Amino acid sequence: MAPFWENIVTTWSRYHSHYLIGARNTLIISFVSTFIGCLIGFAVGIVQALPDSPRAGKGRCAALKILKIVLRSYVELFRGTPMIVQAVFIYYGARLVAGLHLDMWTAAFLIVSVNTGAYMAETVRGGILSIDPGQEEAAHALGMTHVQTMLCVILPQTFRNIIPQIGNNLIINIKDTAVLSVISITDLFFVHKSVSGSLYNYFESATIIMVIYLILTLSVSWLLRLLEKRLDGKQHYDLATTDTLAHTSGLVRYARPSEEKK
Amino acid sequence: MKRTDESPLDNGVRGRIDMERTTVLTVDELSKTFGNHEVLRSVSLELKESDVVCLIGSSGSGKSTLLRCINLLEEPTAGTICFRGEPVSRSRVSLAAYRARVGMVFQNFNLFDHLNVLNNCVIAMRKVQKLDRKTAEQRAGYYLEKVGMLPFIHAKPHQLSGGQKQRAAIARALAMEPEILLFDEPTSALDPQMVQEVLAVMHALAKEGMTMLIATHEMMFAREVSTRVVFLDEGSILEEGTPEQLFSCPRHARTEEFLRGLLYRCPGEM
Repeated sequence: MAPFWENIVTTWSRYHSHYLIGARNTLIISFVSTFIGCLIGFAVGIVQALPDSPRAGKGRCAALKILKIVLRSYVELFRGTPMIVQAVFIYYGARLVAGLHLDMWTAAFLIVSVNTGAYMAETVRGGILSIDPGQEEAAHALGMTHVQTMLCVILPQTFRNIIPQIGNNLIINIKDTAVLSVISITDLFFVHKSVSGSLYNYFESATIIMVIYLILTLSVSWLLRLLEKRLDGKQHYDLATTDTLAHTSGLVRYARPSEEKK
Repeated sequence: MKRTDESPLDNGVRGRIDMERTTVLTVDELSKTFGNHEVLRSVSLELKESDVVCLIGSSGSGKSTLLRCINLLEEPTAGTICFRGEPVSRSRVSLAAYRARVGMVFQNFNLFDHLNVLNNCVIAMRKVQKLDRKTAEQRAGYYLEKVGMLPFIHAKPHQLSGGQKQRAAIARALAMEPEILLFDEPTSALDPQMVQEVLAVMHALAKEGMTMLIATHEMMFAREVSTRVVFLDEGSILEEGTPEQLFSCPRHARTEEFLRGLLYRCPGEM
C-alpha cells in the first residue's frame, strides 16, 4: 500500500492547485446554475399551478393553455434526455445550426440551469399544490389579490417545503457537472482526466476527487439543514399572560339574556 | 349604530330600530349548481346593521355554499348580491375591496402556517389596506386582546389548540374592521371544551352590534344570540323567523323533524 499513499501525496503536491481550481469551477457552475434553475423552476411551476379560472376571459384561457403546453414540453424534453447529450447537442448544435458560437462557460451555465429548471418546475408545482387550499381562500377572503396571496402566503411556505429538493438538485449538480468535461469545462472531473492522463495514476487521482466531491456535498447538505432550521424559527414561543378565555376545566353554560339582567 | 343595551330577543325594540337601521347585505334569488347538482335554489336574504342571522340545517343543505357564494369564493350560478345597496361586481379590483369589507371565519381556521399569530392578523392590513406596520400591529393587538389571544402573538398556528386557532382567525377577520362577518361552522372542528371559548367571543361580538351571518350546528347559541334564524333545507330557505318562533313552534314538519333530531341528541338541552 505504501506506493499508493506516496502517489497520492505526490499527485496532490504537484497538482493541488489544478484540483482546487477544478473544485472551484464545479462549485461555481453548480451554485449559479442551481440558483438560475430555481428561478426558472419557480416561474414555470407557478404558471403550471395556475388554475384554469372561469372568471378570466376566453382569450386569456386559451393563451394560458398554450403556454402550459409549451412549458410542459420543455419539462418533458429536458427531464427526458441525458444532460451529457444535451451538452453536446446545444454546444455543437448552436454552432452548426444557428451559427452561434457559444462560449463554453455560457453553454455550461445554460445547460445545467435549464436542466435544473425542468426538475425544479415539477418540484415547485408539487410544493404549491401541497399547501392547503384553505389558506389561499382565507387570503382571498381577506381581500388579497392572487399575486399577493402567492407572494405572501403560498410561495414562502412552498419554498420552505422544497428546500430538501433544492438541496438534492444542488448535490446532483455538483456531481453531474462532471459530464461537462465533454465540452472542455475544466471542472473537477476534467482535472482528474488530465492529471491521470499524464501520470497514469487513475486510482490515486480518483481517490482525491472522490474525497473532494464528498467534502463539497457534505458541506452543502449541512448548510441547507442550517437554512431550514433558520426558516423554521424558534420551536417555542413566549407567553405574555395567561389565557383568560379558555375554559379548559369543563363546559361553561351560557346565561340566558333574561338571567343576565339579574 | 350599536346595539349594546338591548337584549337580542326584545322584538318590540327591534321593530323600532328596524326603521332606522340600514341594510348591509342583500342576497337576491341566489342559485348555485355544481354540475347538475343544485346546491342553492333561489335563496333570498337580507341583513341589516347589527343583525345576527344564524343559518341552520343539516349537512349538505347549502349553508356553507351560501356563505362562500356571498364573498364569491364560489361563483353563483344565478342571482345577485348587493352590498350597501350596490351590486357586487366581479372585476378584480372591486372584488378585493369588497372582500376586505366582508370578513370570513372558516371551519378549519385556515391560518397562515408560516406566520405567527400577530403577523397572521397584520399581513392583510398591510397588503390590502396599505397600513404601516406600527398602526397595523396596534390594531391587531387590540383585536387579539378582545379574543383573549394577546398572550399568544408570537406563537405559530401549529403550536396552538383548535380553540385558540379559531380565536386568532376571528381576530384576523376583525382586524380588517369588516362591516359584516361570515362564520362558516366556526366550531365544527373543535373539541366540546374549545367550542365554548369561541362561542364566548362570538357572543361578545353580537352584543357589540357586529353584523354577523353564521352557519352553525350550535342550536343553544343560535337561540340566544341571533336576531333571526334561517332554516335551510336542500338548498332553499324553508323557514325563517325569530329564534323563539323557529325553535318553539316551527311551521314546517321538516324543520320540526330537524330540531327534534337535535333534541334527541342532547336530552335536557333547549
